[in-house]
Amino acid sequence: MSRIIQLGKRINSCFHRLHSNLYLIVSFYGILAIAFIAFSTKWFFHAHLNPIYVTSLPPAWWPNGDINHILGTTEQGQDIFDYLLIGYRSTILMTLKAVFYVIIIGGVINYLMFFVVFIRPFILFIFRFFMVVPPLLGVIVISLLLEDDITNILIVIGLSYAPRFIYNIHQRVIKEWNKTYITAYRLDGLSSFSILNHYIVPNILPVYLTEIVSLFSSVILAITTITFLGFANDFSRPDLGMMMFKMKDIIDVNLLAFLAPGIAVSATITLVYLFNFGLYGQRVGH
Amino acid sequence: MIIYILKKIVTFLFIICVLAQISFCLVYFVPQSTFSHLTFIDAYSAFFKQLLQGRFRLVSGETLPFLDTLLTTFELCILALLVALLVGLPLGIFLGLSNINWLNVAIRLASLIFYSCPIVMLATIVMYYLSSTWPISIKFDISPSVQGRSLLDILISSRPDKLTALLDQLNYLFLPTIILAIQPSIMTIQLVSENVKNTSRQNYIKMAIIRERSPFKVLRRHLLPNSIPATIPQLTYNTTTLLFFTMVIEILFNRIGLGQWVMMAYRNHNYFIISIAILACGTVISLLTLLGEITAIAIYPLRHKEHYV
Repeated sequence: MSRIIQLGKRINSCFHRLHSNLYLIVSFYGILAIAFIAFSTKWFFHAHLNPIYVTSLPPAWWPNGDINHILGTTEQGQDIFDYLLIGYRSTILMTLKAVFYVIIIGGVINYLMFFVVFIRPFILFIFRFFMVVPPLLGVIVISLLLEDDITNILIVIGLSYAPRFIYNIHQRVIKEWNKTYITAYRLDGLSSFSILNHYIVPNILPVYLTEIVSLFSSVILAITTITFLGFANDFSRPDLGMMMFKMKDIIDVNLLAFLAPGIAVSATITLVYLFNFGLYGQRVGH
Repeated sequence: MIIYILKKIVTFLFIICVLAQISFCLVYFVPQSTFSHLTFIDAYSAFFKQLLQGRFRLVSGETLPFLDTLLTTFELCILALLVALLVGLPLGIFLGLSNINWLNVAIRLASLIFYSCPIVMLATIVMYYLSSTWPISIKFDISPSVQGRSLLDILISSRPDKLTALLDQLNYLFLPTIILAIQPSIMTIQLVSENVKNTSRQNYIKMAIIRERSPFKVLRRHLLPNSIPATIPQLTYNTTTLLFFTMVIEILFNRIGLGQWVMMAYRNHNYFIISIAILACGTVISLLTLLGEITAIAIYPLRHKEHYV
């Protein structure tokens, strides 16, 4: 019973913290809203890409617009708002997938680098080679050698951004390890494993979250850019970069159709940064 | 400090050497290679001879201006970084010292929004409003229309209309540089404002404010020398992202450079050029990082004690 009460108190304190400042309120509910939009395209919005509507409709507030198609329709008769929802879902899922794998692999490598000291220079040296290949070149090489496939593209983007993420976390862990309070714990006889897990990780959590937020924004921007350039374009599951490229042809008649994917990406990154800023007051764009 | 710089130069040379070996192996074994009919040793010497000359010969008989292309891209990166410093430093200092809350929030929010905008969207919008031929140039599969010559080439040439050519080239470079400088500028603003704010809270600055007559003197003699140099090393961290966006901008603006080069190679399935591009990208990124590190250590010698790896 006491555990349930404790859990209730903890949830209550989290709720109060989430409402402690304006940044957190805006970003928390904003993230909830975009998560809802991203994961309810099928069952709530019934979004689909079938070309069954009147072609080339302008946005709904234009004189000959239709209220059922807020952003208008394409030349093939697809609803642009549905296109946006499906593209947004696809982009967010791809980004989360890439970020998740980088965090997991980065965590394992960081643990290895912390406990097995002699592999540190070797891993840092390997990273130098990963970092000299920009994602675009990596994507081109992979597309030519293997297949122009979204999984391969995500691997390349992950490999491009993982070294910086791992390196920054490693630097922070080592900096914390050299502090006086950690030396005191070591003199008390605590093992390196428990010091890392119980004292270092909680103390570098703000930096860790900032790095994850930075990684998220880099990955989503890279995916949008690369798919805009025509790589890994899966027409059955379009994403925002691909949508932006397609909508540039109707930019003269429907500017918002072109801007909408960019605004969606921008809003997502802004909300995620604001959430992090609200939680820890860390600087953005690290 | 000299030992540190030497160590960095040796690491740079070592990385370039390893990349050159990888690039040679790829060039030797890929189809459409000019070296495939030679023995391994002959191909090796021919490859490095052409590399040192700065241009490669293709199977079709054309020459690939390796060094010129590299220089054009490198120049764009450097110009973007300079613009970032020009815009970011004053704004960052202002943001760090200003007590006008709404203005600070507005600048920060505007920075965040620009930072989060996809660069392809910004470039396309700018081209749409400013260029009459934009639908043609954004097809990605045509030869570069803008004749990108390196500024260094023009500077060292002996032509009489040097100044006009230089201004002409800067005119071509203006828009790509401005768009490319957006992200580094925002990073500079954030880093400088944070460092200036932290330094301004130190006791010696408070003491200086009491003793010195002019606030500008405090700024020039105490605040800036103690806060700006520490931010320089942090600005050189994202060279990979900078080169990535430079390549994208070159593709979108249809300029001669690494981006247009690899994109054309991808369209034509030319593995030879792609293999060379790996070396080219490695050289640009390593050179940018090396320059950043040397500048940082020259301005702020204590840096290597903090970030020594």
